[in-house]
Amino acid sequence: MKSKNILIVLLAAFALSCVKEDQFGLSDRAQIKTFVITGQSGNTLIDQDSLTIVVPMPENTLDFTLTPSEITHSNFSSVSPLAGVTQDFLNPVTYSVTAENGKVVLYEVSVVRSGAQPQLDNASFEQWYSETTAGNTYDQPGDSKETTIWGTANRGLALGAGNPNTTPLPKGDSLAARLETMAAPALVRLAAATLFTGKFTDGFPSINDPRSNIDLGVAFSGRPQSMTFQYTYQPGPSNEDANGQPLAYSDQCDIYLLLEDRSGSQTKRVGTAWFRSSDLVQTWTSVNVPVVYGPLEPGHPWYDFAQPQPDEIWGDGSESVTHISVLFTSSFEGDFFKGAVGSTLEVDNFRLNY
Amino acid sequence: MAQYEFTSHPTAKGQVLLSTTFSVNQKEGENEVSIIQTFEQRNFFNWDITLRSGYFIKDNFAVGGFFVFEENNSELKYTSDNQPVLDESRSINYGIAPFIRNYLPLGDGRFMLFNETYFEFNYGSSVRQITTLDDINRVTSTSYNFTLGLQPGIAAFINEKVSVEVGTSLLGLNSSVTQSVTNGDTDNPSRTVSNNVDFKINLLTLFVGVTFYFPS
Repeated sequence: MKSKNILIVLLAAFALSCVKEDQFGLSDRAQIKTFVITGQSGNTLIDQDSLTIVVPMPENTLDFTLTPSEITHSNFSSVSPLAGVTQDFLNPVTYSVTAENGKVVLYEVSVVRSGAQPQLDNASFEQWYSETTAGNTYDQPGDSKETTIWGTANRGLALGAGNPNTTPLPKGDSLAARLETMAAPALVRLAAATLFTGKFTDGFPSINDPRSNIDLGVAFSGRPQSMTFQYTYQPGPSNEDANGQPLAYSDQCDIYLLLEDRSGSQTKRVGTAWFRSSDLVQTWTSVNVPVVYGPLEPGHPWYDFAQPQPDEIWGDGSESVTHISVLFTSSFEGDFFKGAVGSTLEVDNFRLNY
Repeated sequence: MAQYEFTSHPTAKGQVLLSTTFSVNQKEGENEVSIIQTFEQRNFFNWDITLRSGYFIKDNFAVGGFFVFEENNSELKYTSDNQPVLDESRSINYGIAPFIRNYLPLGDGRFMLFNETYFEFNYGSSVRQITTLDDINRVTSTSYNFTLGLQPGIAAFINEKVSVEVGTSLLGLNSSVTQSVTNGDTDNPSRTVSNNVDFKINLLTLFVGVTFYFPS
């Protein structure tokens, strides 16, 4: 009798013994992470906020009845319809993802032609809108603050009651952008002008680390072979360091393009194009700079200054491009408050070539 | 001081031995700095219990069995790649083992060397879930362990009914099978089988216990 009781206790204990799979709760994740259609011409753009997926197909695609070859989604979730099921993408197709806990998320997948050769919006700097900061009004490139992909340091200068250093420049019957390194209104010696894809900080700009004020880069997919732009440049007469001491070299302009893969936790540099010059160029000159994919080899002309940023590493060049950063500046060491007051860079008609 | 005389010999034929060991290990920490990580939170709660019973079929020789239950829970919160990570795990282990125990009285019998030889079957199940911004990863595993082990030690008798034991474990022969399933992929479980022989004394596994002896 006694041994029977012990046996019952042991069996009861064993019945409780398994650790349940949902010990820590069921997963609520229901994301489509990749969506691939064989033969697509560029990278799939997945917007997790608006739950839309755009797959670019070559320009000559006539039949939109296509079969996704790969759909990856969150662990424990299921997707419907499955990869391998042919769909008519003439109209957007809804894909539903069901999380382990039953949550359903609907994605709208559309296929567009010719997504592979995108240009940057307002890259010829024809559109400018007006913005007011601390009572100072200045022009910014783009259609509106909400939609523009271009940022400048104008807002930081306006906070210090200074004049904007990136301004629209009439050129024939169109507009270009004019960047001039200026004496700073307060706190620091000079303010190099920059024009870049991304946003200038909404908060009060950091004085010690001007680079941190810039959120560089916008979403982009495409693999351009080169970048082309027109420019003029006039280095200022006296190139000085942050303390106003003269430097032995002339000021230079910097124009660069970085293609990045930010899909993983580590940002990877996929492609680089860099133009740096101290030459006096007074007439509009067209320049074509090839994009180098993958790491720059030692000895490459850009090797010394085009290395990855602190939060970035080299990719091998084959990664998907998710972001593009284009930056123009009138003083190449403006990050460190070095430069020549009066250095002026004018740019127009930036173009990506495929 | 008068020498204590045993009125009945505790390890004589017909006696019964009973013992229980119990341990709890609990910790809650916040913003702990360790070598590789700063843990914003690190909690764990582990406990185990062993129940042992035996019968002396002849003088200084007992046969019996023990039952082991062990539960481990842990929760870690830290930041990796600028992302918050929550790492939770829980495991439960059950073991049952028949054993034989030999006693060797020293001097007047107040101290005895003993050696326990046991064959333990152990079943364990565990789940570990790691939650990041990106996704949730979960590994569930079940394991089966067979151990032929030795536990030599020394027992000090307080009286004829109670002894305090100090012993250590020699692993002996161990065989285990672990099957793990990652992220619900039951078609591709990972399975590891390990066997080892080890007769090294591990001083870190020194145990102290109280054993009771009764006439049956």
